[in-house]
Amino acid sequence: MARSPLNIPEIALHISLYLARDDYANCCLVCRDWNNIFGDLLYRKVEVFPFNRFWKNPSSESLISYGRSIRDLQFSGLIPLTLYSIPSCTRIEKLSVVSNWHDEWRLRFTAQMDHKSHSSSEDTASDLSLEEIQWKKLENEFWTPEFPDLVYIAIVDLMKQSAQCLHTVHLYNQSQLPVEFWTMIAETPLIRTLHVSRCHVQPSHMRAFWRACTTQIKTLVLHFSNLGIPLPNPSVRRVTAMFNVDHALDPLLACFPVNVLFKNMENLTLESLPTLSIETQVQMAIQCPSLRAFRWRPADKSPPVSVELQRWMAHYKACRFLESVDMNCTGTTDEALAAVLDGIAPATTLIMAWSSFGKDATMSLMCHHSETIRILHLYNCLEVTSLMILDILASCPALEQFMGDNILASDMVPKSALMNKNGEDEEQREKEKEEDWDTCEMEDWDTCEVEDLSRDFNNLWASDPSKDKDVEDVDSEDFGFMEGGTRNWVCLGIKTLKITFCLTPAEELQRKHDREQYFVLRQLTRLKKLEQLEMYPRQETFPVDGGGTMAGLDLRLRSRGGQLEALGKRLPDLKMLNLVICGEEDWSEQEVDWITRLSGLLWGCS
Amino acid sequence: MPVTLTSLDNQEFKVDKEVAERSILIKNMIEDVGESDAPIPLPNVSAAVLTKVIEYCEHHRNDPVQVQDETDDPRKRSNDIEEWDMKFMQVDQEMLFEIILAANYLDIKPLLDVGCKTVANIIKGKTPEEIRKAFNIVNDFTPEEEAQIKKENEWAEDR
Repeated sequence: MARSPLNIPEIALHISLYLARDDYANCCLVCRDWNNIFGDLLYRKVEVFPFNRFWKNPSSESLISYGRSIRDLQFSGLIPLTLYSIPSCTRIEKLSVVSNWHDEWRLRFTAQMDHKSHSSSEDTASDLSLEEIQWKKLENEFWTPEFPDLVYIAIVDLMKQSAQCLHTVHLYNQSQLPVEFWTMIAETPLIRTLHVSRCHVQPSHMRAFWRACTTQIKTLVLHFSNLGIPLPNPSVRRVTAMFNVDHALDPLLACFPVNVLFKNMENLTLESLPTLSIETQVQMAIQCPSLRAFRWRPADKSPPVSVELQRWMAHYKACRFLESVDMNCTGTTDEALAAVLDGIAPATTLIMAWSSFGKDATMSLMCHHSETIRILHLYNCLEVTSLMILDILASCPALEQFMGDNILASDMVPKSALMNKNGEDEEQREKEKEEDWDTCEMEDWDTCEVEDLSRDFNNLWASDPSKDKDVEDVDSEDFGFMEGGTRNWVCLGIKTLKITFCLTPAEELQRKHDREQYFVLRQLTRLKKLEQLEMYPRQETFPVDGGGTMAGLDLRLRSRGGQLEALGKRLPDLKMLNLVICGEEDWSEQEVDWITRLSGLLWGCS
Repeated sequence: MPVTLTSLDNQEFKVDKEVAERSILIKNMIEDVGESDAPIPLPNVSAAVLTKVIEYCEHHRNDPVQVQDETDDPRKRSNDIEEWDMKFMQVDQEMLFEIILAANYLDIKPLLDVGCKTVANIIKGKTPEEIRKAFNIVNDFTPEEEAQIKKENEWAEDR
């Protein structure tokens, strides 16, 4: 072992990344040198939870002897105090106090405790019996356990011991945090990330709480969700939530340090904060000049936020680094979203599902973000049209994830495929067809399919033009919007695509259906990096504006062109095909096999 | 433009600049020194090991530069070694260790990854005794120590 790479700590750590926990345990038993190396690695991350049947916890003796190795400690308050009251534990960097007890968990725990008391097992999982723990219901929706004070004293002690290393604190479902806790956070110099979820801040602790969130000029990530922040007077709160009253009337701002800048804050999440007014939430975002990522989910029944958004964007110069916006909020307007998109830096992530994202916002997106955008969610946005989506897919080359609603397949059929209306001679049409084949990377298609499809297309073009008349009218009508509908998609690196293609039902116009089917598949099979595809398949029919119904993409093998095989062969990375299948099923066994092998995820499939 | 590298045992190797710059250490050296014909001394790497490392860099000269993916799950897979790399790593253990050390010193991340994966694959799923055999290590524990460690780490088994 004279010149073993394992003696160099970085390399040992590097190797250990490829090993499982039981491998670490085996390595510890190899020899003294290895025990020193892997013992340290084994105890870097320790999680202690109360469920003994599913989970083995380290003994308190082991924790004491390896306390100095622990960097990442995660525990629930419902475990013996000796498991986290560890004096040797002085180098914690990440501390998570989890007691995410939803009602279901609570019942499970109760059942287990009952079982324990009956069997009078030696293995007492907890110092705390259930009787000692009071449950407190917050905001009519979740429960938090109220632990005896000693639990919190132990937590504060842990933080004190590791004050020079601690940089990340996650708190879930705590109602009784003592004021010392917030003071401790404020005084811990390296804290960069603070996650507070489903916690309850006591009214008398508000000052300490805000100090904990703001005094650290070094805070980079602040994540609030389901936070119970009390207000002095509940009736005032209702008023502020419903009307956009001025700052001065908002009692929260009395506690909220308006003048404090969250100078280095890069990542802010505000989620389900029923007691924090929209105004205050926007105010917080304004006070983060270095903000890079903002995730905002106002409380479920939030008032309209457009006015605040626009006010926020008036300050947008203060948010010039913002590149990730996640705002699934109702109550905005297209103009307000467009203002946000105009104001922020070129974005990589935009999550705007369930919003009024529309024409203006699309324009702003195309103008400022088309080069950089990687993740875009636009599902359940009623104002987003098929052509807008096609334009986005044809102009955002960096896109890796797109989630949207519907694309009308007829928008994807190039005009050249419909050129038979003026009765050009056969040769002309043949030529156009040739060109069309060229542009669609023919070499990728199997010869049998080529023959198959070209036969279909021969039939299409050879047919009576007058029958297709209505088809053209519908198509050419919509081509106005940025005329991008039939352009090739440029997002060739896309990995996740959730979109539903709406085709003309085969029963209505077989040829049109086939043509649409072909062009949709043509675009899809160009997306070589695709890993996940989610859509409504053939059976689903959609009511469309202006009457009529549409059908989903037909992926059955027996449909023309062997579609499933075509997808499988051309998209080597496709791992998940999510077909939301409703109603009567007529997939062959072979097809079901193929899909389950690929995805294992077939919703509602009989 | 070729670059000359000198190994620990004073052997000189002429390689393409592009190949040599797979090593971040050498790349930075060249950038710092600027255009120069002077050979670059690598006093930590023997000729035998350097030959291997150059072979690796020649084969991977056109690979795209690895992007550090910090967001990934820290637990990584070790079963995705390319076939050529797998063959390349079929060397005796001393050489394997030397290659890892050289990759670490020369800062060639992909080579270091492959080396560490190879070592991890040797360790994986083996009992302590099997590991000792594989790496030719002598058990220096007393039976009491061994029992104590086993007890301490019991929680980590089968997880």
